[in-house]
Amino acid sequence: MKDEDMTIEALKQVLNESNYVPDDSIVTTIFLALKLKKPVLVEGPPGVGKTELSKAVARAFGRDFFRVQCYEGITFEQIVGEWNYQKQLLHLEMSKLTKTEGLDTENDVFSDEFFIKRPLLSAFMNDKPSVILIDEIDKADEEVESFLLQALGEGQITVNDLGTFNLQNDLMVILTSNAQRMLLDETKDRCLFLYIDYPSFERELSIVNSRVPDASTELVKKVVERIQSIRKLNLAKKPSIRATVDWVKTILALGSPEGNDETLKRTVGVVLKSEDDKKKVLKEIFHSKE
Amino acid sequence: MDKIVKFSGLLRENGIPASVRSTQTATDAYKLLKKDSKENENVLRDAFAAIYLKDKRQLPTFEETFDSVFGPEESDSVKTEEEITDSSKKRSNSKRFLKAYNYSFKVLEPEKVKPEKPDVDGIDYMPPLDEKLQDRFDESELLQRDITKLNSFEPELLDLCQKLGRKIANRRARRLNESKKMRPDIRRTMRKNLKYGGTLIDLVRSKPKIKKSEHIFLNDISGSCDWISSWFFCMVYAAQTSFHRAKTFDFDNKTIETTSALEEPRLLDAFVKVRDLRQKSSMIHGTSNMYTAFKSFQSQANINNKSYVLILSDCRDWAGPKSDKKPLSADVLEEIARRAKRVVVLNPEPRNKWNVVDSCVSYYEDAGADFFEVRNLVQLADLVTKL
Repeated sequence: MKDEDMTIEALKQVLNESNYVPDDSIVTTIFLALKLKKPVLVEGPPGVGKTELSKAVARAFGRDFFRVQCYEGITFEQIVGEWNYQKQLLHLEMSKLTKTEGLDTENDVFSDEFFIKRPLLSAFMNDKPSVILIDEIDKADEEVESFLLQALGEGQITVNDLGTFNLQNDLMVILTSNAQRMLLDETKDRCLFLYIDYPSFERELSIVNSRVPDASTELVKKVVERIQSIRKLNLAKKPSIRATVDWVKTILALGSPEGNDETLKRTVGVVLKSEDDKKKVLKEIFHSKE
Repeated sequence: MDKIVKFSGLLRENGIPASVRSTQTATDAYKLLKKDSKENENVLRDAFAAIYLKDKRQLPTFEETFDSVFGPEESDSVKTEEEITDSSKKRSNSKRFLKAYNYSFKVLEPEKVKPEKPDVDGIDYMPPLDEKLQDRFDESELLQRDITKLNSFEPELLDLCQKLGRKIANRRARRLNESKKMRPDIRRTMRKNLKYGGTLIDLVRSKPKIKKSEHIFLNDISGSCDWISSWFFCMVYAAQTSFHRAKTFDFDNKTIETTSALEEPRLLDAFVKVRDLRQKSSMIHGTSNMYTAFKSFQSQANINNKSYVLILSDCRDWAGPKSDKKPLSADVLEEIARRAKRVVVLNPEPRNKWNVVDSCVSYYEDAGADFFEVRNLVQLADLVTKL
């Protein structure tokens, strides 16, 4: 589908077809991002489909997908690219041995050939329209964030000794954050903001149905109901959508397609990540006396 | 267009920073959506939320402002109780609650703040009735004021604690990112530089260790520490993102968990929720019984070797049982300290009053707790930052 003749309904359908069940705010934000060419900053608890959203957009529009996984101490080189020292050294050694006249060795080793492109530059230089996911931007240092801001804002990246690269395609940028630190106001201002929370009962039902088509409607309904009530408890780690899907798959793998209460109770560990949480859930949801 | 500009202005007044860029984007989006979805209000709401919001906590304010500008006009003029949105209902409930609680409620609504009159001839024609009103916004004075005297509800204190909390969160986040100042990691440096034939080109520094500790805040809300605990809670609320897992508890002669209040979208609502929880458990101006309180804390908090337990208390165990003059609560605390990674007690009393009359400081120190004197908000914030 071309971006020009896209409507909100059409976008929703396309995302659904690429196995992503969006809610209204997700569709509207992605629609605006595509139309207004703006980056999207996605926040929300882990496992609600932030990363999957960018993959789904790439799948839906047949765009190439690039990903930068941020972490503490990530540097410019790891995002944009770095010089291939070994290759440069080998080239210099070779040029010493061959001693070819008239060749500018210094310029030679600082050419495109000796530069290893990392995801951001690859996404910039790609011929086809692309999607780049900058995952967990809050874990990167502020300097990296400022650099990204400049690159994404102006559509240009400058590499020392190599030159300036201009954005070559229609690049959609999706940033995700777990709000571990406050992002720069400038970053927030340039982006569309999307908060993805835990899904409603109906949405979660559709998501699980699309992810595990083999599961019966009753089983999915039963599991989703339990998950929704578990999320209402005050737990250290609330179960994600991923956990719901895993729970359904586990029950199916155990050969209990109807998912009776005993099976659910036995397998609740799949969705809970700590012993304290498990105890609380067994007590409050399954009314266990242990 | 005028409506959007007005909307941006209103958002700014309500504390949501709406930039000119956002207004411009909103105008573009409005044109797009008008064509596309026949002025569907919900779509427009979602679109504007994506453009203007930078934090999910701003959502209730945004919703109210959106309704006032883009909501149906008839309903604006004749607004019944049912039509008030959940959030605004909650807010008015918050105010009502605080009033019912007999606290001097002085939250400054932006529209109600009158600009100060210029002092033309040097005579102030409207001297403030309360002299303290003049220095209400003197933050440094509030920060340095004796923490035990901050015992009434003052909105600027709420703001101040929130500010301090944000500062704490930023400092703590920055501390985690100090990889550049870290020591060189010789083993990794050697391994990395092997590819350059052993010549030192890249220096690898050790990475900061991410501590995934669980922070448990236990606040004494008996008469003497009631308000300090509230301000402390506000700070923790604002800084909660910088803690891996934060849990809050209040105690007098029993303990209640108030962690759910940390999830409230607004500080004022969180503040009121804590007060509400206390009221429901009849914990207003109670007397400390640290023995029963610690016992119930122990059973509720699931303390393990990753838990940092922070107790804000003057350690005056008025009603707790004693054996040979030694409070039994010290034994419970010893058990807590054995199971936890660290137990820190923040004591708002001046050091010279420690161990006087019924203060249990020395017993608790023997039980394994570290003591810190917290005389004002700055000290309190500094200590929380260093956790």
